[in-house]
Formats: sequence, structure tokens, C-alpha cells
Amino acid sequence: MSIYSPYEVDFKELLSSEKTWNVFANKFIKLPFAVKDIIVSRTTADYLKILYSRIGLDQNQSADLSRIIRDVLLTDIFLGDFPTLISQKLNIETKTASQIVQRVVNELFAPAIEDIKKMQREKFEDRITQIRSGQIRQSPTPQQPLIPAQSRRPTGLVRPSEIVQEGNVINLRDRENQQ
Amino acid sequence: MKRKQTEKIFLLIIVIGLFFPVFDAKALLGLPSIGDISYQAAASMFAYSAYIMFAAIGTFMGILVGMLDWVMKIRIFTNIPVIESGWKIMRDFANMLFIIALIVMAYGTIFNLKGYDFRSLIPRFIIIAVLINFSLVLSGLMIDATQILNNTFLAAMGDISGQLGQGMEPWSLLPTAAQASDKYEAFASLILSSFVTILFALFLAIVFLVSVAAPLVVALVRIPILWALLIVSPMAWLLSILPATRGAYNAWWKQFLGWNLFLPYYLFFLYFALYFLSKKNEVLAGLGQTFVNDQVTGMAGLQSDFTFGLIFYYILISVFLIGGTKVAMSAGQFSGTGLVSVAKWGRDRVANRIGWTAGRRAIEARFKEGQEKEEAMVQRQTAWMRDKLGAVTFGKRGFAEEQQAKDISEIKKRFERITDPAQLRVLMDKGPLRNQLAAREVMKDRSLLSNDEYRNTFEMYGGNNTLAGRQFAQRIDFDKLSSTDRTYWYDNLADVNAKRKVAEVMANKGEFDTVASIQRAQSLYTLPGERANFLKRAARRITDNTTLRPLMTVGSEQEQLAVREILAERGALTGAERFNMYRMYKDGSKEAVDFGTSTDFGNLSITDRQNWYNNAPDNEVKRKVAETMVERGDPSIMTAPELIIAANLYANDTEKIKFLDKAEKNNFMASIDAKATAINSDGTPGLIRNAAGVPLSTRGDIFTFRLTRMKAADIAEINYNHGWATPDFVNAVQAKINSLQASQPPTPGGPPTTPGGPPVMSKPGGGERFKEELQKAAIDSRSLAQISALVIP
Repeated sequence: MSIYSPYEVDFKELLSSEKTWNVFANKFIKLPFAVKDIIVSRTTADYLKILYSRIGLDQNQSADLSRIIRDVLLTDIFLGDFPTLISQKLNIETKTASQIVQRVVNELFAPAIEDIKKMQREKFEDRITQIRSGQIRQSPTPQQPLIPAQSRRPTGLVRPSEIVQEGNVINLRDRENQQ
Repeated sequence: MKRKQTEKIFLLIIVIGLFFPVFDAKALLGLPSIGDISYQAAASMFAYSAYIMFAAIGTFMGILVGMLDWVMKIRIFTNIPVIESGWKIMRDFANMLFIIALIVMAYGTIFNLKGYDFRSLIPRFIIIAVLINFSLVLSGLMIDATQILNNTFLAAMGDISGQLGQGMEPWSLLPTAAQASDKYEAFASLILSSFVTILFALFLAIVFLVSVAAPLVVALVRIPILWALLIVSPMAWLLSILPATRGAYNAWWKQFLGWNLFLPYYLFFLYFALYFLSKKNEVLAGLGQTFVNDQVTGMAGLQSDFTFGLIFYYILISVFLIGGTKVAMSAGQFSGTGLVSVAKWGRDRVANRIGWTAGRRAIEARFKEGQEKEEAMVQRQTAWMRDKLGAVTFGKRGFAEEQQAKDISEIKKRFERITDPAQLRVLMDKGPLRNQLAAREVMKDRSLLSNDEYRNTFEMYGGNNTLAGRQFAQRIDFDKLSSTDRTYWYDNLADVNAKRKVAEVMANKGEFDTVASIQRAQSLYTLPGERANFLKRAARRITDNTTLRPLMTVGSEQEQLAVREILAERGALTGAERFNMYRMYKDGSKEAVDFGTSTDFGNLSITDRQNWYNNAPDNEVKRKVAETMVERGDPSIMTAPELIIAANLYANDTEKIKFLDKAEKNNFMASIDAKATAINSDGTPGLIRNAAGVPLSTRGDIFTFRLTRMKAADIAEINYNHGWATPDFVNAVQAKINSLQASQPPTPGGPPTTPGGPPVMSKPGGGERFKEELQKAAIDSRSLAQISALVIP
């Protein structure tokens, strides 16, 4: 299984539990065709492999980034949290995380960007409204990260329970709580 | 008003006075002395008045008869100098106009106008150029030919005036003074008998007068007209050259022949009239001696020789004289010449007296003549006469109304030329009844009548009691009336046809809002089909299905079907009700099949679908149910044996395969098995054939055959339980992936071809791409798991 493919990165773990698989599979089946195409395509894996090597991510970081991308595409993660989450989970600078996000969104997500936006709008309507109202209040100051800097952990990965919406994402690595 | 009263009193005196000479006052009233003397004086005065009147008519008729005799013997000589010189002027003028005809031909040839080119016109041009010089001779020959006929009749008739004068003596029927012995008892019968005989004599006198006057006028007028036609004949011949002017030439011939032939026709009938006049005794004898000598009841002993035979005799003569004139005019093609109008006037003057039972009406009409337009007057009186005729046509109901309708139709044609509605509206209430009705008919045709005016018109026609009234009601455009007005007509009309018409409009507009009202209206129809059609229209407007439902089982089968069709269209029938409705149609009928196949079986329950499938007698319907059942995966049909039974509803192997393909999605394995085991058209197992035409009769062969032809999306959608769950199926798909990957191997990626450029991306193999497609098209998690577990070699 390829760690560069958002579909295959946790495939064995997903298949190991029927419940887990069903949750993932049912979400996947309902996705727009263009989004599904990004998730399963071999081209995506090849693209991410090249991207990760250029950034210099190790195996774990690569797998984490593939998971984040998968979760964004499954609409388990709010797109606005994408840079912060990458920065936190991969323990890289925010600037680098933003660059990664920019490339992924502009290049990888491009064919399905409208579908992705639509799904994000439907699921995270409140967050989007909150951001817009914040922008109006604070304009023209630049957008602040949603997670305060003092609350970020300097090292280590952020636990999935801190970054995902409850009940939407299966933490594939939290095997203790599964089954 | 005062003048009218004076007129009435005056008329009354005249009428009473006319009877004075008939009676001996002394004997009748028993009043000698001064009164007796004054009575005699008054009686004498009126007697002489009557005598003078009839004598004047007689003298006038004698003059007319003499003139007729003279006119008929006039010859229309063609060599009359004035005609010849006039004709020469016209001929020379026509010769000049030949140049114009040539110019027209030249232009016609240049512009290629059909019918005007040289080739089309030149033969006629030459012939006419020659014949135009003989137009007077040719026309003269025709006149001479008719004159020969005239002479034949004239010679046979001899002294026309003498015979007519001697034969036609209606005044001989006038009553003579009579003694009434039974005083007052006899007075009533005397009045009646005298009155009838006076009127009859008057009538006959007028009949003879008109029957002589009309042909006299025509015969006299025809001479100058024929002269004029002779003079213009060169021009008429010239006009026959060009198609555009040929109509004038035809009109000339019509007039010429018409005026020429009038006299021979008339003389023919006159000949017979005179013949009968000369054979009075033989005609009367031919009627039967007893009958001929019968005195008209109540008049014996008091009157002249007023017998049935004599009446018949004079009527016979009248028929020949008047009828002859009419036939001569009709045969002479006088339509539109104005002569017919004159003739009609004459005829109607006579005819309107036929039914007069009292002098009052005749005199009243005469007074009104001065007040009304002549045309309207003629029509009114003619119509009145027809009414009377209708009254005596025992057993022929509606005769008078039929005639009235004809009259109205004639007047209507005249009124249709009136474009101003205001003017028509005035005519609606002015003049004779027929004129009013005609004006109203025109207004009706233009949709300008209000409902009140419709009602008034209906009543003027006689309402429900007359045929005309009922027919008028049938002609009303109820669609244009308001709902309230329609309800009025519906409630008040007695004629079934008219009532049906209203009811149908009301039904279409949804004005029957209750089942009871619909059922009442339905009673207007007797045939089940008609009742059903009406019900279908009326009930469609009842939107509450629960109100309609009880009607599903009421009335004839057609009526029940009508209601069910409405409910079916609304989707308000259960599957079972729909099936029952389908069974109510004749098995195999177009209606049954159309209804069955229009059923949305996808919306029915599995049980209902099964019921349709098991019990529908039509294969077409059964096939449609089966298709829905396999598409929906109804368990009862999703086995190989059942699929084979259903496939056998189709005629050929291709259709069977097509049907079984539809079953693949829900039970791929059963479909494959059915295809493998079903008997093909050769009588061997296996519907599908390979490229060599050999039937494939094993599951593996069919798998390979099908999967190689199926798109990834179709394979992915195959039901898990009957597809992806079976190892055979998964293995077959895996085999396909292997095959595709082998035939379309992946292309490896590589470093950028240019420094700093994008790296070369790898390209997945055919099997891998196929798997991706399967993943994207998967419809359930279990299938997706199976797909995801497929291995790319």
C-alpha cells in the first residue's frame, strides 16, 4: 500500500474493521466523482510523492500529510484548518505548511475545487460565517490562525481528537478505542 | 292611434256593406218601413261598389290579355335599321380593340404569362376576328329559332285573348241576392258563405291578373333587352379572347339565351292553360259527376254555382299560369337579372292572399305596406302565408317553422351585410318578427348577444314549445356565456340535445361540482358510451379523489372505467385497483395494452407487480412488468429459471439477451446462468454466441464474454450479494484487470527532461485504471472493499 495515496495510506487499517471500513467507504461512495478521482488516482500518489520529496518530508510526515489530504477531501477537516494542521502534525513551519497547502489546493485539488468548496460550505457553514465576520471586524489585518499560538504544541503531533469534528473522522491510529 | 281606429271602423263598414246586397233585409230582419228603405239604399250602394270593383278588374284584365296577345306576336326582326347601325358601330369599335388584344398577347408572350401568350391566344383570336363580323347574323339565327317555337305554340293557341277572356270568369262565383227564410238562424251561415265566395272570387281575379301581368311585362321588356344584346354582341365576342374578360362574354350568352328562351317556355304552359280553359266541361267531367256538382257545404241554394269542381278547375288554371311563368323564368336563367325579384313580388302578392280568412288582415297589411319597406313586407307576408300553409299540412309538424327558418335565413343574408352592431341592435327589436330574429341570428353569430338577449330570442322563437326554439337553443355558443347563464339554460331547457350541449360545456368547465349533479346530467344520455364520455369530462373536475372513488363501482362498465381512468391519471389507484381496471378492458385490446404499458410499475409494491406479472393476459404488458421487476430486483423473478420464463416472453434471442442484461445489475449470477441455460432459437442452450456463432452455455464463458464488454461503472454497480460476493465474479473481474494491465502496461515516471522542469509523471496501466474506475463507481461499501482488494499485477 502506498503511503503517498490518500486512499491507500491507511487501507489495511481501514479494512481491518468492518465498522471502520463502512464509515470510510460510505463517505467515499457519496463523494462527487471528481473528488473520488483525486483520492483513488495513481496520479495523485505520484504527484504527492514528488511533492513530499521536494519538501523533504520523511515517511511518517508523508503518511500524515496524505491522511490530512484524505480527510480534507472527505470533508472531515475544515479547509481553513489545513495549513495549521499540516504545521502542527508535520511539525513544520507555518510558512512551509501554507506553501504546501497552496500547491496542493492549486494543483492537486484543482479539477475538483468547486466540489470541494461546495462540500466545505455545506459542512462548515458556521466556521465560514465566523471567519467572515472576524475578517470584517479585523480588516484589514491579516488572517489569524484559528488555533492560538500559545495552545500549539511545540513538538509532536496534534491528537486527532483535537482537530477533527466529533463523529466524522475515524482515527485510524487510535486502535485502542476501535472495535 | 286615432287614424288606425278610423281605418278599422271604415273597413268594418265596407265588410258589412259587402254583404248587404246578398240579403233581403225585410225577410231576414223582419223590419219593414223606414229602416227597410234605408237598408235597401245602403245595400244598393255596396252592391254597385262591388260590381264596379269586379268590373274594373275584369276590364283591366281584358286589356292585359289583349296586350299579352299582341306582345307575344311581336317578332324581333334583326334587320331593323337601328339595330344594324348600332351593331356596325360596335363592330368597328371592337375591331379597333383587337389591337389592344394583340398588345396584351405581346406582353403575355414576353413575360410568359400563362394563358396570355401568343400560342394560347392566337387560334381564338383569329376565330373571333372572323366570327365577330357574323355576330349579328348568328344571334339573329338564334332568335329566329326560338321564334319558330313561339310560332308553333301561337298557331296552336289561336286567339289567346279571346280564350283567356272567356275562360277566366271568377266573378261568376259571386253570390247573388238570396232570400233567407229562417231569419236569424240563417244569418250566420249566410255571412260565412257569402264571405268565402266573395273572397274566393277576389282571389281568383288577382291570380289571373298577376298571371297575365307578369309574363306580359317580361315579354315586353325582353324586346329592347334583346335588341341591346344584339347591338353589343361584337364587343361580347371580342371579350371572349382574353381569359380575364371571358366572364363578360359568358354573361352576355347567359342573358341572351335567358331572354330568348323565356317566351317558348311560357307559351308552352300557356298553351296547356288555354287548352284546359277551352275544355272546361271535360275537365269538370273528368273529376267525377257527383263531386263536381257538390255545392260547397252551407252554401247550397243561396249562392252562385260554387262547387268543388269549379274551385278545382280554377286552381288548375292558376297553377299552369303562375307555375308556367315561374318555370319560364327559372329555365330562362334569369337569376340575378332582377326579373326574378319582380316575379317574386307578383307571386307573393298573390300568395299572401291564399290564407286570408278575413278581410281585416288583408286590408291591414295593405295599410302597413305604406309604412314598411317593400322587401320586408313581402317576406313577412310570404312567411305568414307559409304559416297558414303549415297549419293546413296536417300531420307535418314543424312545416311552418321550417319555412320560417328559411325566411329568416334569407333575411339574415341581407342583414349580414350590416357591419354596425348598433344598427343590428336596432333591427333586433324592430319590424316583423322574422326580421328581428334574423338580426338576432346575425348578432349571435358575431357573439354580440347578451344572455338576456339570448333568452328573449329563444322566447321569440317560441321557446321550448317550438322546433325553432329548440334549434335556436342548440345553436347557442354556451361556451361564451357565464357560469350563471349556463346554469339558467341548463335548468330551463327542455330539449335534450340543447340541454346536452350546455351540460357538456358545463362539464368541460367543471361546473358540476357534486357527484349528484353529474349523475343527474348523465341521465340526459341513454347510451352507456355517451354516459361514460360525459362522466369522464365532468368528473375530471372533481379534484377530491375520495368523492370520486364511490363512482368506481357505479353504473355500466364503461362508466366505471371512465372514473377509474381519471383516478389512474392522478395516480390515485392502488396497484390492485389498477389491475382490476386493466382487466375491465377487453383482453388484448389496444386500450388494455395502452393502459397496462402506461402503468408505472416501479411505483407499485412487489406484491402488485407480481400480481400483474402472473395475471396480465397481454405479453406486452407482462414484459413491461418483468422489466421493472428485474430492474428493481424483485426476488420472485431473480432466479435463473424465472428469468428464463420471463425472457421467453420475448420473440427472439436478441430481445431475450437485452432483457436478461437488465437483470445483471441486481443478480448478475442469475442473469449469467439464465443466459447460459436458456434455449436459443436453434433449440440449444445458450443465448449468447461467440464470434464464431457458437452458443456459450457455461457460466465461465458467459462471464468472460460479458465482463469484457461491460464498462467498469456497470460492473461496479452489480449487486454485492449476487455479484461481488461470489468468488467466481471477483475472479472474473480480477482476470479482466490482469488482462488489461498486460495489454496496457504502466509507463514509469522519471526525472525532469529539462533542468528545473516538472518531472515526467508515470502512467498507470490499463488494469489499474479499470480498478480506479470500479472504485469510483462502487455503490456500496462491501463492493468497494472487494474492488479495493483487487490486485494490480
